[in-house]
Amino acid sequence: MSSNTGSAAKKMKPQNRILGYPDIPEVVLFYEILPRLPVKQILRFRTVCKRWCQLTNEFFFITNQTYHSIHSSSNQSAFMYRNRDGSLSVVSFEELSQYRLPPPPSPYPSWTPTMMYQGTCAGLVYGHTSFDILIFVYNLITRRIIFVENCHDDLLAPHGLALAFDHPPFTTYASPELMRFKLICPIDNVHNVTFKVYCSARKEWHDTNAYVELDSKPFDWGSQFTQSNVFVKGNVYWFDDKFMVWFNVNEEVAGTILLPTNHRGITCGAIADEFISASVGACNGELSYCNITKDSKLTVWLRRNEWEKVREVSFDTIIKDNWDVLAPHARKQGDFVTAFYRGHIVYTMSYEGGDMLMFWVVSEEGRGARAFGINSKTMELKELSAPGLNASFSAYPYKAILLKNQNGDENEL
Amino acid sequence: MSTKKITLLSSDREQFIVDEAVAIQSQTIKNLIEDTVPDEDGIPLPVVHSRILAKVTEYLTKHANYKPHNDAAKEELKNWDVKFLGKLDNNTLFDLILAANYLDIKGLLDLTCQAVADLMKGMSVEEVRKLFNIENDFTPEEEEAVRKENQWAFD
Repeated sequence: MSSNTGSAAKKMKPQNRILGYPDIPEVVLFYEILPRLPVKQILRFRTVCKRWCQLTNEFFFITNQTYHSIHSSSNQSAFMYRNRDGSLSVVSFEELSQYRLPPPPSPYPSWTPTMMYQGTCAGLVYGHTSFDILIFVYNLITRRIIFVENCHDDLLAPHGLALAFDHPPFTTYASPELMRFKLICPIDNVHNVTFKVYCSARKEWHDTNAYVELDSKPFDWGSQFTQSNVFVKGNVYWFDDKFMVWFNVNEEVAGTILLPTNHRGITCGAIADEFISASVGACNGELSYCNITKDSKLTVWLRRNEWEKVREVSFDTIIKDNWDVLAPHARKQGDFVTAFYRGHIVYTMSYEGGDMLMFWVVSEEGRGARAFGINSKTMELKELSAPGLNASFSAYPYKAILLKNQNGDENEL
Repeated sequence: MSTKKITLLSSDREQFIVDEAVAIQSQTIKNLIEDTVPDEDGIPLPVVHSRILAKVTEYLTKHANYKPHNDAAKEELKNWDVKFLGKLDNNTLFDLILAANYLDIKGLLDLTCQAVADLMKGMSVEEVRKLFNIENDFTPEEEEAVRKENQWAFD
């Protein structure tokens, strides 16, 4: 083993120093073992000793956790939503518990703009401010936030904005430099879509040559569905009612693929003729698509080379078997189909990373919402306690990770 | 099919004779085979004791001979891994992590690190200190401050 130079820059890096009897090198402990733990536990273990506290705060560790978070197919899952007062709640699946976290710091000293959340990726939350459309990327655990100038000159809200990461081939110790984030902003030119990319390493937006022809039908970036996107295996995917648009982050090329089903009419979030809800996600590291149709089927597809239907289950069964938890308001009306379906109240979120599909149910009477998850393998249903969840707020699948570094470089979350 | 044999030499000079295909799952051994002239007794692995090398070769042999093609086979390999882990005490587990890290065997490193992570999942801070033989160098006030800073994790 070569000796370390001991320079100031290296001071905080993991050493091959031995940590007591089992002789586990710190690099193994901090790169390989701790990132496999739930984030809550890692934070708790900061009190083990000073060294652990110091190292768990660090950039190298953090970036590697981002890496694990993107690439692992772990079932650690949660989702976050915004409360009325601007604070955020994360509901953990594993522990069936809920944490309420303070709102993100304001970019201004004297006032706080409304934060419009657009999505999450690898534990980071992103969106834009309501008034001056500053795009932000926020780590709600370390409370570090980065504000980025909008890529549009005319301050248009960046519909379809996506957060992604470079995708290096697997190495045990992924280089932190490769893990900086990118923002992808699709630009709707009516008959085609082009893409702008913000690279956190360079701190600037650039145009790409990526280009998708849309024929006659415009892609509706403003709809609830196209706003959600997912980052899987180096590609960002958006979808509308007929197809998906993808953008490869490394090569900056784009294209389209057809959806596994052809159904009519997702329009601006309203539930149209044939189905109730649909979403894109990542199930065990593969692109997935799921929907609930009006014939009461919950169907999940995975895409390896082609779309492959992996689950189909009667949603009626799920509802009836969980009648009391799922549709108390519907029961009152005696006809849950009416209350449940035509009331436009089921939204699906397929989870980033694991097996879990999530959906939330909004009561027609505006009494708030309830959130549920279905394990896509076992079809087991769990309710998540989310008393603050309200119809007017969006919820996102969320995978908690730690992100922070020691030198306060705003560029590295 | 070529079944070239490779002799590995543990730190206590015990010989382990395995198929080349088995041995080269370790990136380190692969490099050693390519880059060095082996001494007569075999390829020396000076940091791996025979007790651990026996476990490593057991793992490598199973994984080299077993290329799962379907879910059932994958499941069986997984079960084998679980059984393999189940037979280890904590010290052996830690020694295996060291060996997997030194020999650069990704699968084994993943498996053993996940096992330690699983072990830690149910542990209190005090138990983790014990597991890694770490002395608490916080003063009670400092510990309280760190705890406060991460309050939500303790709720």
